[in-house]
Amino acid sequence: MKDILLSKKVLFVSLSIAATYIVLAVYLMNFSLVKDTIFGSFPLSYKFNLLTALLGGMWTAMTKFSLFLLVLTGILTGINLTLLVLRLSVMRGSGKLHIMVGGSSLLAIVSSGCAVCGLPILALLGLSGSIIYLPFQGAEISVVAVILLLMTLYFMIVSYPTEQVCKYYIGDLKK
Amino acid sequence: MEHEHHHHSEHHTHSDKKDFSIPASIIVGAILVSASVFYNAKLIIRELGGGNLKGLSQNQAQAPGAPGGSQAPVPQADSGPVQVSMDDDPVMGSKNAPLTVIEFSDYECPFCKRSFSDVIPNLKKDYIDTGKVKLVYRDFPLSFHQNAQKEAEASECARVQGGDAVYFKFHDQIFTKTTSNGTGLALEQLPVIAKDLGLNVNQFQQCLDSGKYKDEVAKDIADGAAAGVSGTPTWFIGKTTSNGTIDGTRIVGAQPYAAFKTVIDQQLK
Repeated sequence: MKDILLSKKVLFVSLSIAATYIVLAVYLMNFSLVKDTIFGSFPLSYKFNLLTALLGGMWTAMTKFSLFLLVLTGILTGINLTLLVLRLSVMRGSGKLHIMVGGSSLLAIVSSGCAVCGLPILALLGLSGSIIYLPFQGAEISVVAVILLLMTLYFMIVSYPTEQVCKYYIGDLKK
Repeated sequence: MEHEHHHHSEHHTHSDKKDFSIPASIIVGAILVSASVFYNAKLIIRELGGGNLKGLSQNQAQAPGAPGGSQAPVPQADSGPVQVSMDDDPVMGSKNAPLTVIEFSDYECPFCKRSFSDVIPNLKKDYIDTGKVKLVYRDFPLSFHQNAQKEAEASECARVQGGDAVYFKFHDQIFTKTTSNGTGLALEQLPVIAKDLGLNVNQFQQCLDSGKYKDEVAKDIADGAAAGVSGTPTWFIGKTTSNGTIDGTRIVGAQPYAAFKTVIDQQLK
């Protein structure tokens, strides 16, 4: 399992997914602006400059704690998804795990952003008001998402079907 | 042996295909998940009538102009410029500036304080002092920031004594002194600031105690909500019009100055 986790391919794919996830979450705060910028008839330099500047917003428009949770969630989502796909490639099925990884990652996306000023992605769904009923204005949802992702990762590692590789050969030989 | 070689070769080819299919399926999966998040968010927003009013307190949501209030707002599209009015709110810079930036802000929001220290000074130096941009400050005190509402009203009470110039001096003092955590500035400090700025403190205190500008702040919140503001700071940048309503590009959050500069430069072209 350690070999799989530390393999260059798994690391690369996991980090790529993590980066995509983080960029997506940062841009979601300015969803309409990003959409208009990408699809609008603007000069390429404008598109590049604005999208780069908005990406810099992850340092200025989020608390350090929110940013930490976002990066952690991104990395966990990356590893979870990579392992899930690897696992599904040797084991057909496992729908429950798929839902758990997907669900907890979406939960984290939804709760990311600046909860302090009412700007988590919940606002996109018209649910920003819900955060006023939470003691930490929505940051707890990110924490729950991280816990769920850690649990999923743990169960995935513990039950990883490493011997399935051998079964592949056996199945192959039976042909 | 030949059979074994053949088998290995077949297995090798199969393995290569698998190596390619895993990252490819992850990328496709990620794109599908992203697309569904965007699509569903859009659908839900549309179903809710574009409203983000659940973010407001009952008092705020029933403000004039707010949905559920006396006057229904025009629903805003979830893309493209957003129509937003500068109302009769304080203006920094030349009233004839070709571009208008409307900021919806909350004195007790730490990110509004960050924008105050990182964005506004640059904006002032590059565009406001040069007559290219005017900045309109509109209040959007969030209900979970306890002192923000009174601080917003206090700024209006300062304005009534000295116009927009004094308003922005008061605004600067609040942002400088508050720690912006909901109760970052004790309300007892508001008349002290008024005194420091040479205002009539009794008149200021009477104005504040009477709640004279409660409705004015509520109107700002309602207008902001109608324009899709759900958190602070939220900015709208657009060409100045004679009726004070701009078609603004919306920027949400304490974004780096570079983002504002890029949008402003593009609109000034």
